Amino acid sequence: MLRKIPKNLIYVVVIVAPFWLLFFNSPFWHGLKLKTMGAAASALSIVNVPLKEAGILLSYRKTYADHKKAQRENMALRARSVELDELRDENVRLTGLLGFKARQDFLTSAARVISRDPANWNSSMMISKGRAEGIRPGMPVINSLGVVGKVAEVAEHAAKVILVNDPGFSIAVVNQRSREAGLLSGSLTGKCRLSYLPEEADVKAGDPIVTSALSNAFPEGLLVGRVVNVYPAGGISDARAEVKPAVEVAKIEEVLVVK
Amino acid sequence: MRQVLVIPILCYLFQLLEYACFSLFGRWGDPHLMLLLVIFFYLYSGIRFSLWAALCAGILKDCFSTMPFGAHIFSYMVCACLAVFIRRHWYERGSSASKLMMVFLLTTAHTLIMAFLFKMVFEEVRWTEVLASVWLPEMLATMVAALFIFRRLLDVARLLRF
Repeated sequence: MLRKIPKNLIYVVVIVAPFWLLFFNSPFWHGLKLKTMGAAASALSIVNVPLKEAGILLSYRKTYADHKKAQRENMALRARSVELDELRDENVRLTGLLGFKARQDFLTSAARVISRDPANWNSSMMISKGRAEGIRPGMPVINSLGVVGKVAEVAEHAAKVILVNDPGFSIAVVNQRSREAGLLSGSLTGKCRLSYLPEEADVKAGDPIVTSALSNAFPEGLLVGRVVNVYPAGGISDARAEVKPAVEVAKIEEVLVVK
Repeated sequence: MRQVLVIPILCYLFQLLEYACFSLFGRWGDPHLMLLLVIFFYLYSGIRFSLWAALCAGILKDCFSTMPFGAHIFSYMVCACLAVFIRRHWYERGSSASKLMMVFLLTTAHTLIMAFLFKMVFEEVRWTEVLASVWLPEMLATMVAALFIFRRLLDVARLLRF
């Protein structure tokens, strides 16, 4: 069929079509994108089942090592939890004494991860809830470890989440130790960059980075990651530190969408 | 006619396969199967079918990507056109080495095109990151898988008689 089309017409289409697609945001393409996303969701869920099992089998040695490490950490954390219980009680008493407003709880909706985009240029994933379940673009996505990302696009029963290490993701954060605010954004390496810090900012490797009150979308105080590298001030770019996300994006299976 | 219908199905299956490879082996074990499909259809059926494959593969990739819609379509189509140039000047029919050279050149071209589009969107491109985190893993995995994938696609083509 395609052999009957003149070559010149094809070359014209080749030149015109991509530019039209790139520079004119047509609702037709957006609709097609969402429909394809929704249609692919069920196929990906089926592919996920054997993949998950294969992944478990392939990583049994690492899982065993992780289990041993987790056991040791658990012992230490149990001891720590007693101490923290004491501190929490004290905090409740003092907060009441000062008359501070209690920290607001937020509504969440749990969703299953359907797939991760197999691309090196961006980092996104699809989740099992969409418009029908009340998910809207821009909603924050978190899990028990911290910030996962935010909802980018929503189909009927699926949504695309832009992950914390995607180059298109950025969020206002604060260094929990020194309380200095900055902007965290993703990169191609899988880690994040912390920029727009003051020149004399106090940043050290291991510092926890949490969401700031300046961020409108995300609740304050959620762990985003930890500083792994600090760059000297006055470099070519504004980036001052490299941050490893708190969540291991490759291993996320369930997430919470903050409504 | 049969090819026109088979190409979108193959694109969809390759997208699932890419997803499976990425989930199991990470970025170092995830060959660029869509690009291999575009190259295969150029070598086997000519530029028109290669462009059709580029369009189908690009649409699928763009649906899941966070880049603007059309970025992958544009890149694959340019790669299909570049394949014509490479075949005319450097390609030797039946030679595995020249197939691999074509894969190498087009993987590099695809990375460069995406990097320029990336620069348009995000304004900043760190070339060391592009080389180490995108080009190198993608190129190595694609080169390793290329000949095997081409042979399997040839089997499919013979089986479906197109």
